[in-house]
Amino acid sequence: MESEIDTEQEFDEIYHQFFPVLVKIVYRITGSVSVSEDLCQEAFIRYYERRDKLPGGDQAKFWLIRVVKNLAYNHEKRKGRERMAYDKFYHEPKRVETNEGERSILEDESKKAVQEALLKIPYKLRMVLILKEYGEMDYKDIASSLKISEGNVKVRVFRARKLLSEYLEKGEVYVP
Amino acid sequence: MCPEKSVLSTWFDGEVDSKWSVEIENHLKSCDECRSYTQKLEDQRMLLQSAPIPDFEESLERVKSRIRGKRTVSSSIRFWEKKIPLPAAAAAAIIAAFVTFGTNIISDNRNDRILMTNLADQNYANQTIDMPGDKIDEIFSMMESSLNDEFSSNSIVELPADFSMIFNGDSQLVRSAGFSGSTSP
Repeated sequence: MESEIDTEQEFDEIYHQFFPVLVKIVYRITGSVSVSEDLCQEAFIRYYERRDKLPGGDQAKFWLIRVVKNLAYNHEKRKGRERMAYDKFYHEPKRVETNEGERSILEDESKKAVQEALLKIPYKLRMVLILKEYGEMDYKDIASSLKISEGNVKVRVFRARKLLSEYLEKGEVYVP
Repeated sequence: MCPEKSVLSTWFDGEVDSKWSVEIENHLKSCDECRSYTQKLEDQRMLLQSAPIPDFEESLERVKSRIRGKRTVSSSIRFWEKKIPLPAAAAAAIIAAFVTFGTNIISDNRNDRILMTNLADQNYANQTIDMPGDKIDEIFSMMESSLNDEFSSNSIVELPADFSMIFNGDSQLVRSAGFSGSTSP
């Protein structure tokens, strides 16, 4: 029974160590608080159920990211259609007011728009860029958590950045 | 000659070998175009970092308690999984017992059985019990275990009076019925 308690404690440590990072990553991928919670919950339950066989430390983080990546991808496929319709309706290019008085409001708007622009990047590229910019991971870590080569990480980060700046420069987003 | 933008992107992430890194830095000092590109990468990073993120403090606890809920479910599943490899005789006895309860509930009221209603709330002495006395305690100990979670206190349990526990190998059945989840019979 003692070993059971040990793994409980280990699980709590893993949970408190990685949940805050993981949920933010998932939020950037999905753009939804409730979806992020659900996906992270599922990932941690899976980790909990296999905790005896799974590694701890950074490897646990990579494992969780891999699970979350797949869950988010499934979610993306399911929601893809709905979101495309939504984007078309709500995210047609907007006219940008440049009145000085509205500047701070526009800055807030632009910060929200960053998330929207992120969501437009194809999933595989977005995932890598988000792990780089929000996951505090280097190429090697990203490569091992996604099981792709470092060269692939390099290319995807670059292409994601290119697309992101294109979306941001199209005038759909106000950049201060 | 200017390095490719993809190389600059990699350099920006600090992922270029130190030897090449020095060359790129030297190049940046003299090349406005490349410098403006790396500045653009820097701006983009700042913008990404400044994008608002909801406060997930509450989520931390909420999801944790939901996972705890799931843990209870999976531990009760394990409880039942442990129960499956019961000795065949005891398993057959339990199945036979429940089948008999079921038939008796459907069938007409007959006198040749015991009837226990609201076991948790009422005194056993008030119940209609028509059964050899030496078997009563064994029946109750079996009932007690089924009164915990799986059965509500309002459950009606009907047993036939001629229910012979010896027929089913009673000592094994009683141990199975009193199974606490910690040991296997």
